[in-house]
Parts: sequence; structure tokens; C-alpha cells
Amino acid sequence: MPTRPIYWNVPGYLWLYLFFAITVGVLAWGLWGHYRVIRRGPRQPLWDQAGRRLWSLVVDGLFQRRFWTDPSAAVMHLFIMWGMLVLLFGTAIVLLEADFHLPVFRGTFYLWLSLALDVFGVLAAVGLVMALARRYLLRPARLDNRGEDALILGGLLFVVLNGFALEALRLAASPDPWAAWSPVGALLAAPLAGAAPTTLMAWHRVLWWLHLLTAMALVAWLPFSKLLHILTGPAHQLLRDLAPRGVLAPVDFSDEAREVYGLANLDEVGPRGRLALEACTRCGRCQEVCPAYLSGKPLTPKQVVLDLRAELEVALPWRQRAATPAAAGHAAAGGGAGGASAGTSSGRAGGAPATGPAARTIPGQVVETEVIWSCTTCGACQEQCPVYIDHPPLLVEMRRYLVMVEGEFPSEAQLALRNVEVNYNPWGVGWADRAAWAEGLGVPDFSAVVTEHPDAWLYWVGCAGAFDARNRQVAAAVAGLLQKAGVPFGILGTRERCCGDPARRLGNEYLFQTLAEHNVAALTGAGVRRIITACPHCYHVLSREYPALGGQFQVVHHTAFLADLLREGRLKPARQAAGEGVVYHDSCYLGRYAGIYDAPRHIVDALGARRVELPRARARSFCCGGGGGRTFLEESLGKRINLMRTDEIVGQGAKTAVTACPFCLTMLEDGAKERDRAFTVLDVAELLSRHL
Amino acid sequence: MRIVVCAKQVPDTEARVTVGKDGRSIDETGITFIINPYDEFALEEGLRIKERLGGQATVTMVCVGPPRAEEALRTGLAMGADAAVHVWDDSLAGADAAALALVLQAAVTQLGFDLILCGRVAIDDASAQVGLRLAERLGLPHANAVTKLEVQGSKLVAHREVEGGVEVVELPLPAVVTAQKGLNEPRYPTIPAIMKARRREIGRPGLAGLGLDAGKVADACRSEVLSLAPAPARKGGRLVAGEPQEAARTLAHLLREEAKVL
Repeated sequence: MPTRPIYWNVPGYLWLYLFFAITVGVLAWGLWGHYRVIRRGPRQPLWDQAGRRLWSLVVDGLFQRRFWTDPSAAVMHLFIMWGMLVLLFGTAIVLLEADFHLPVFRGTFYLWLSLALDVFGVLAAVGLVMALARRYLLRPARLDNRGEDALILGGLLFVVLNGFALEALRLAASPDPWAAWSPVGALLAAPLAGAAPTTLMAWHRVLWWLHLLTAMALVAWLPFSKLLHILTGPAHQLLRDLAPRGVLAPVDFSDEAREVYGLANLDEVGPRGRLALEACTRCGRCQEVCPAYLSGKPLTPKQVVLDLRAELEVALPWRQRAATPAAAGHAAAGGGAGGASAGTSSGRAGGAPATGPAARTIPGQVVETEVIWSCTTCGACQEQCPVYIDHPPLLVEMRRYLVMVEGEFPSEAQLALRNVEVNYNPWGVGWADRAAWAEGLGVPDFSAVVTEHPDAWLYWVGCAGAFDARNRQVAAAVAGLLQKAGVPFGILGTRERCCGDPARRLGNEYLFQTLAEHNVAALTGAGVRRIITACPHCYHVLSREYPALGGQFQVVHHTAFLADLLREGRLKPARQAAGEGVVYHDSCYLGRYAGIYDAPRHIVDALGARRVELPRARARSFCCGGGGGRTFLEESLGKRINLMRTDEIVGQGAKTAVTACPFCLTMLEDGAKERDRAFTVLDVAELLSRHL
Repeated sequence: MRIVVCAKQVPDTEARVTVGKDGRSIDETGITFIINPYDEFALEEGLRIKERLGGQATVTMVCVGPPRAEEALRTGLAMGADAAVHVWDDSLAGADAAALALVLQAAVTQLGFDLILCGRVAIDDASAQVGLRLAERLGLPHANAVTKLEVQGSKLVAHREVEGGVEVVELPLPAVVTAQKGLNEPRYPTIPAIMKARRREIGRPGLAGLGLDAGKVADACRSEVLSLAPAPARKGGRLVAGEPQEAARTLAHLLREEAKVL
């Protein structure tokens, strides 16, 4: 029966049980430390939608779905991961045979396993060499190299190559009838054929112990190095937040004695958020696509996560001692080291939960305020992260603290928020003029329409459509198209207020909820069931954030609605766009947030225009710079994001750029003005109405 | 140091103002009211002086106005005022700057003060008199339209905005100072402060509590609003075409004969 001797040529192999015990002990101690850190903070349900979670574990964990936007990285990592998994499996089979005396390391299974171990060992080695080459030869900016990277990659490569060397030495020193099933070992054994068996065996013994000790050292090191992601990565893929992208958790304002809102420290972060921080592998995909980082602002999403993780890991038992002196200024009276267990089970309402010895205020002390205000919440980072870390909500939580507790934020933000408070729009135009754009256009008030058409659509105009001069033209175009198609619709007029997107993204959750309450009541009171809006930000808030505040409406973005009208023949383009080049720019909130990529493209195509795709399009689209309330802030650091995108459009040579978001329209039009009006910017609705 | 800030609630700058049915006041329906921006500068300055002095100062906000003005006082408390006093009586409707100065004099005297801060002008009636009339009534020195203010022991150093420059004046306490735009940037109240401000007591002495009555107020009035009319709608600009010399001549003619500004 095919098999091979276990512990061949290793007389003192019993020592390995001692090393094994040490390894398991260190590993368990380290993992227990991480587990305790993750379990701190408020409890939260983790296992809703279990089926979807397990499926994600398969496609995102085992098949690394999110890696495939960068194929070479995907191949590299899949090779390493699968190689190591199969080698681990082989080792486990040996363990079953040797220590549990199960007859598993034999027969046909043994032969195929033997072959598989060689094949996957080669794949692992290839993957590791690729990884080393990326890190130390290609050096992409997103990777920061630390000592542990070299040690881990080098260590793993050493273990794999050493395994092949052991195989070769064994085959060269003792004949094996099934050597063909270990092709790599057999190949390497050939040149050793002439060597003296005693020499070969001496080498074998040395390398065998090195192989074992290196492998065990790496296993024991797992909780203390980035190898931890082997466990935390899949764990977070499994337990991550499954809410639609960018939907922020509402703050509870019912307790009027509450003193702290937002992310002041990590006490209020539950296990899911903690696991997210522990899952980061420093791969830097988030950084590589971040408009703030690419335009030279101080924000890199990766560093935000790493800084927060460092703060979290202060509570690890082996970090506590090292961290205490540095934070002497904040050391509160009372127990320090016991904090790890004190804060979890009992009181977290009211007073300050037990924090570790080094509880610093996150905004300002752990993450610089300039970093916090740089984010456009475009979601490009989230789209890329292989382990599903959600960076922008963390930054918005920090803004909540700065705005609602400290009252410290850019003065332009203060102006925008005040404008929203007083006149219900961030531009601060008198709210009584909200319906002025519609004068003379025959756009009825919703209440006049709903009596006749109970299913009438509400056109949610949004602040931009109502108050911004340029976007008023878009509102007029949308209304005209709806009228032309005979769609029964009306507007709320002055009963509509800002949906609250800028307030919420700028961190004033209180103001957001005030607006949401008003709007939900106004919409419900008017008998609205279905809403069309031309603003992706309004779309996101109305469709995905109002439900948590009691507003349940069917919400459709105008691009989807207009595309349907074209398909149904209710709108017919009268003239074709004669092949003129039209660039389509994906809005972040329409694309990455709402997943609407095809409807606007369908409209452009239906008009006969030659659609030009930008290098960064669809899910990889590059922000205009206007999201997250940034439309209303100065952009004083680094390059201007809208000009970077403008230049990308200029590079495509088209004379028309089309978008479907009022902020994008404004930002790109400002950019085009600075580039000698190289192209005109239109909303999809405007493009359509020009061809009817 | 006892700092008293006098503030008025006014329609928002962007509000669409229409004349009410009586023809003598504005129609308040659909108008958002705010703290008069200049009074907000005054309040912010009071809070900053208090912060600079540490715990040795208090800021009290006084507002004469109808019941809706309570909202302005709550905002002031949320910004950091230590106390708020709301004075109202129906006989105060239509009271002019002279009458208001009388009421404020009674209010601040009852409170006790070392420094009185007012806005330079209210943006609704734009009379710009109340602060100065109050100072006169109290017989106190005052500095008007101040853009920078320092407390140095028992005296004030104030930078005043004057035509084409800045005048630096020194005045002894107690004194009245009116705030000009540029003095500071008012803070944004925090949520815990807003929550707390909702539950705070607001002093409501009433006219009688201040030793006044409707008759005294009426006697103090020096003016009466007879009618209000909306400002004429702004006409569009006019482009003067032609050769530069010719156009300049036409423009000069228009400015002299039609606009009558030359």
C-alpha cells in the first residue's frame, strides 16, 4: 500500500510535542487577547442573514472576489492562500495518521495528496515570490513595507522551499516506489543521486528541525503580526455590516443628559466595528483609489484604520504595559489593567465606561481633524476593501463628535449648517422661494394631483434643483420630460426641506433628524407613495436612510425612470446625436451607493451618442470632490479633486460630459471653466430633452 | 465681572418680508426668526471675555420681544450664556428705540452689570439707536461699532470702525459697547448644550417687575410707525453700448440726470 514513513530519519522527533505545546499555548494566549478586545463594547446582533453571510465567506473568503480588480494581486494572494491551506491540510493528515493512528496517510488518497502537496507547494512558492517582487521591486505606493512583511514572506517561502528540500533529500537517500507522485521532490533529488546517504541524512535532520521550528514560530506569531488577518479577515467578511453602503446608524437623542455623541473613543464601538479594525491587512487598496489621498490631502483611509486599530490594541495584554507611560496625562483614577473586562457586561449607559489606560479622544488626538474633514464619502475605499471595512462612516462618526460635542469645524461648514437650519437649504436662499424655479412651467403642487391620481409621482426637487441657478435648469428639464411623457406628478413646494444629506455627512446628525422628521411627515401627510428625484444624494437619503426614521417610500432616480420611459416608448428621441462623443461621469452616490450604472448609459446610447468611457468608470469612478458635504467646504489642501476629474475628461477629447448628480454637475462645470471650457457639462435629463 | 448682553430676535436676512394687514408691521407668517447677527457678535464677545477671565464672570442675555423670542434666548443659553431674561408685555408692541432703552435700562439695573454689550444695529428696523440710548440713560461711557475689544483690569480698550480707518479708544468700566461685524465669529452650539438649554429657567420679570407700566413705556416713545411699504423691486442693470468715449459720456449723463447721483 502506498505511503511513506512518518518521522523518517528524525530520532528525536518527540521534542516536537513540546514545541507544539508551546506554539499552541502562545497562539491561544494571543488569540484570547484579541478576542477579549473584540468582545468589549456594546453587544450587537451579529448573525442576522446567516445564509448571505456564509455565502460571502465562500466567495469573498475562499475565492477572494474583491481581489479580482487587480488580477496579479489576486493570483498572488490566491496562490499563497490556497497553497498554504493545502499544505496545512497535508500536515493535518499526517497528524491524524501519526497521533490518532487513523489510516489516512495511505493508498490512492496518499498518492493524490502527495501530488497535491507538491503542486500547491509550487503555487505557494510562486505566490510568495510574486509578493516579494511586488513589495521590494515594484513597490507600489499603496504598500508600506515593515519588518514583519519581509519576515512573514521570507519565513513562509523558507518553509515551502525547505519542504521540497526535505522531500528531495528523503527520496535521494531512501528509495521510494511512489516517487513519481512527488514530482518536485523527485526532480530535485536527481542531482543528489551521487551523494553519500549519511551526508544527505545529516542535512535532512537539520532542515527537518528548521522546517518545523520556522513553521511553528510563524503559527505562534499569528496573533502578534499581520498574519492575524488569516482569521480576522474571513471573520469580518462573515460578520460584517450588511446594510446598504453608506447608510449611517441614527443617533438616539432621547436621553437629554447624554454628553457625548459620535466617535470620541472606541468604548461605544461594538464587536463588529472592532473586528473590522482587526481585519485590516495594510494592503492599501483603499488608499490607491481615495480622491483625498490622490489629491494630496492628509487623509489615507488605510492609516485611519491603522491608527484606530493601534488605539484599540492598547487594550491587548501584551501592549498595555508598553502603552501606559505615553498616555500618563490621561490616566484616570482607578483600575487600569482590569479595564479589558470591566466595560463589557455592566453599565454602558450614562457615565464613562471603563476605558483602557490610554483612552485618548479620537478626533484630534488619534486622527487629525484635517484628515476627518478631507473625506468626500465617495465610497471608493469601501468598494475596494477585500475584507469589507467601511471607512467613511468612521470619519462621519468622528465629524459627529467634532460638530455636536466640540462645536469645532470649518467655518464654511458652520455657514452651510446654519443655512440649512434657517432656510432648509445649504445655500441659504430664502426658503419661501423653493418653488420659484417652477414658475411658469405648469408644474402642479402634489396635493392638486394626488386627488385625481392616487398613484401620482412626487418629484423631489432637492435643494440644488430648487435653488442653484444651474441646477434649476436641470429641474426644469426633468419636469418637462415628465410632462411630455404624460406622467402624473407634482412637487411639495415649500413643504420640501433639505433631505439632510449635507448635514448628516458633515456630522450634524441632530439637524439631519430634525429635517428627516419634517420631510417624512410632509411626505406622508401629502399622501406620497412614489418619489422621483434627480439627486443621488436625496435618493440615498430618501430611499435608504428615511426608513429607519419612519419614512417608507418607493424612490426612483430620474435616470432609471427616464430610461424606462424610453424603453416603453413614452419618450421618443426625435433626432439622433449623430455619433458625437459624450463622456459619462458616474456619480458616487448613484453608482457605488445605489448601484445604478446602466440606466444613464442606456439613455446616452438611446440618443445615438458615441458614449466615451473614462479610464476610471463605474464602480471605480473617481469622485467630483463634492460628496460628504464637501461641496460647501473650501478645498485648501492639495490639488483640487474636481480639476483632476476634469483633466481626465479632457483627456478623452469629448466635447460633452454628462452626469446625473447636481454636485457633480457643479464641480465638473467649475472644472471645465478653468480648462478653457474644454467641454460642456449636462445632466442626463438635459441631454435627453435636447433630443426630443 | 457681570456682563449683560442685549439681544433682539429679527427675521432671517433671506426671509421674504411682506407688510401685514395693519399696514404698520410685517406679516410674520412663514418667517424664520434668528438672533440679530450683530447681537450674536455681542453675545459671542461676552462669552469670550468670560472664558478669558476664567470663572470670574457671568453672561446674562436680555431680550425684549414677543413670546417667540424665547427661542433666541434658548439659543443664547446653548451658546453658553449663564442666564436669560425675557421681557414682554403687549404694550411693548410697536415700542421704538427710545422706549426699548427705557425697558432695558430697568432690566440691566435690576440685574446689575459691569459691562453691557449690544449689537450695533438690528437688521430689521436698522435704527442703530438702542445701545447708545441705553448708555445715555445709564450715564455710561460707550464705544460704538467695535471690531476688537480687550478688558484690561477696570478699563476697556476698544477698536472702533470709523470712516476709512480704525479708532482705538479706552473707556472705564462700567460701559456700553456695541458690536460690529468682524468682532468675532459666533460659535455653533453643541448638542448637549442645546439639550440643557431647553430645560433652563428663563427670567420673566414683566413690566411691573421692572417698575414700569404701559403708560411709562408710551411716554418714553419718541416715534410711531405710520405705515410700511415694500422696497421697490430692483430693476435689471442697463448696458451702455457704443465707443468707450461715447459710452462714458452717456453713462455720466445718465448718472447725473436719471440716477441723480452725480
